[in-house]
Amino acid sequence: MNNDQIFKDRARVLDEDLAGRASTAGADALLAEIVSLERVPARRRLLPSPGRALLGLAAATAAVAVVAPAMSSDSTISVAPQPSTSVSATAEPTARQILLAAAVAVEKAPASGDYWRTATVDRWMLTDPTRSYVLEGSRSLETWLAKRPDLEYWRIWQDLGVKPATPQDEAAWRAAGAPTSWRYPKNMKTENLFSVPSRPLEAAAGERTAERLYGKWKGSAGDLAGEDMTWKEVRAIPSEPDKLRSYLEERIGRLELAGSEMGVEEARAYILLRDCVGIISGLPASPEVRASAYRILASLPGIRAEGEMPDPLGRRGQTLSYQEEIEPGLFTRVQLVVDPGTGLLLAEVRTNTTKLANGRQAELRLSTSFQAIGWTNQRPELPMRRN
Amino acid sequence: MSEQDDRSRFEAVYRRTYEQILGYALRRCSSPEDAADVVAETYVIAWRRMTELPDGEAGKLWLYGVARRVLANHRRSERRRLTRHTELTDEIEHLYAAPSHHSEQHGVGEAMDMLADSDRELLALTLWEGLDPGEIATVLGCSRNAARIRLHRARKRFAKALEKTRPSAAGFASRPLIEKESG
Repeated sequence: MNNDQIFKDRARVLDEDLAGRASTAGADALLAEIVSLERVPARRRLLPSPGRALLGLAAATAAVAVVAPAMSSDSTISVAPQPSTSVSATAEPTARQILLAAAVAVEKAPASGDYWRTATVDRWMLTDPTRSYVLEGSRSLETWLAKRPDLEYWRIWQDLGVKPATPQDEAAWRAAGAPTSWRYPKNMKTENLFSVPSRPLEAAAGERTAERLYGKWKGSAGDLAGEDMTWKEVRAIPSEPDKLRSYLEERIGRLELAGSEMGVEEARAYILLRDCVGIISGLPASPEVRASAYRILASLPGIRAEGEMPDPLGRRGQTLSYQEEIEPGLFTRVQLVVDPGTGLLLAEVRTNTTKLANGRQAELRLSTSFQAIGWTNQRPELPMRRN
Repeated sequence: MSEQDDRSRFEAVYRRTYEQILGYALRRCSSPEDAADVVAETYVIAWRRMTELPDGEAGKLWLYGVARRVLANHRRSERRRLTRHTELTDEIEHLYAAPSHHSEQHGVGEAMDMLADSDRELLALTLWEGLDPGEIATVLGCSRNAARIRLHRARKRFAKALEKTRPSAAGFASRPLIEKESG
């Protein structure tokens, strides 16, 4: 028997079992329910666009991502009748409403200061070397970019330790003898969901450490999509939504995308979305530019509202989500937690699932929570320890 | 197009493609509830995006593409079950229980588990759904050549995985790169 046949034999249901299935009671009932659903008019294309490209409508394969917002606001995706007790669909704001509210709010943020400061807590999960339980590590990071030439650039970080991710993981960790250090084999298989630590992973937290940034950092205003930006370049970013979009599209147009597994159009749409998130979450651009980035996001398909939820630090915000195709057919759910009152991004959370050694499906989350994004006249509190 | 015309057209597509989409969902999902969800969501999307649903054979491939995304979304997000249509789920449960599918061979499941989802997907599309590389390219939204190459690699990796899980299967060479395909 050849391998094809072996694979075929694994099929749970054979074609002959399916013959005539299109006219069963179940098939009839489903059809009747679907055609009674309201059709969504083709109003997803919110901006006049230079071709389909930037809306990411990479043919039919993108259908779900594009449809998602239509399905999120009304729960009629459930084919069964709605329970009468459910809250009216209009009570929950849509992704677009949340993003536009954030745009209005962020316009009122301070437009200048001595330092552009971002403070984040990054958390990441990985399995232990035996794939028996999930560990979560976290680290805080502050970045202080000096606007005035007489001030210094600083980066301050602290490893906050590694611990079992959930009570279930904690139980498995105890069963494994509650180790406080983990050594990973170099060739460990991770499905690219996390990188294998090259040094032993330690449970204990580290010391708060400061590093003065020199060299290429001098005059740097951070980066946009990985490309370093000077203060002058950031100042030159256009603030009107249409112009900002053209500016970003022009930059994206210069990228070599043909080699990626993703279709070029899909990749461009994705990069536009990420550029906007990058502007909102870290670039010292004017409040107007940041507001426009929110407005562009509000015009993009595929972002859905998931309601009010706490971020990884327990702060409440409105959660938006979209799917990221990290390799063909493999999706990560990305959640953005936004505070519409201040227009600040509270957190970005990526969730994957993996299978542990005992067959349990476990979530692996990667998150960045933003404690501060913006201008300040404060000075960094520098620890004694220097790098 | 009137509402009535839309319905008749949708019904025609539904009846013509249902068995295949159902089969796709059944073969890819581990539970009847998930399979019912995938079928229902796929057709809800088709209904809502009917203006984009191509006619004829291309419509079937379009639906496979949608079903594939629905399935991927299901896997990655531990969403609460959306469907409650018990009739459909019951029918699907019967299919899962049917006796013809217990020809499970030693090591095959493990070998399949060793494959990346994308490899399993390709092998399933070609061997379970009977699509040729040209059709798979349409479903995946890639070029035919890319589909062929990825398929070839997936076959190689499956053969390798089988060698690991059941050493007796070693020695079966993977298929040649060029095969029959559509226009």
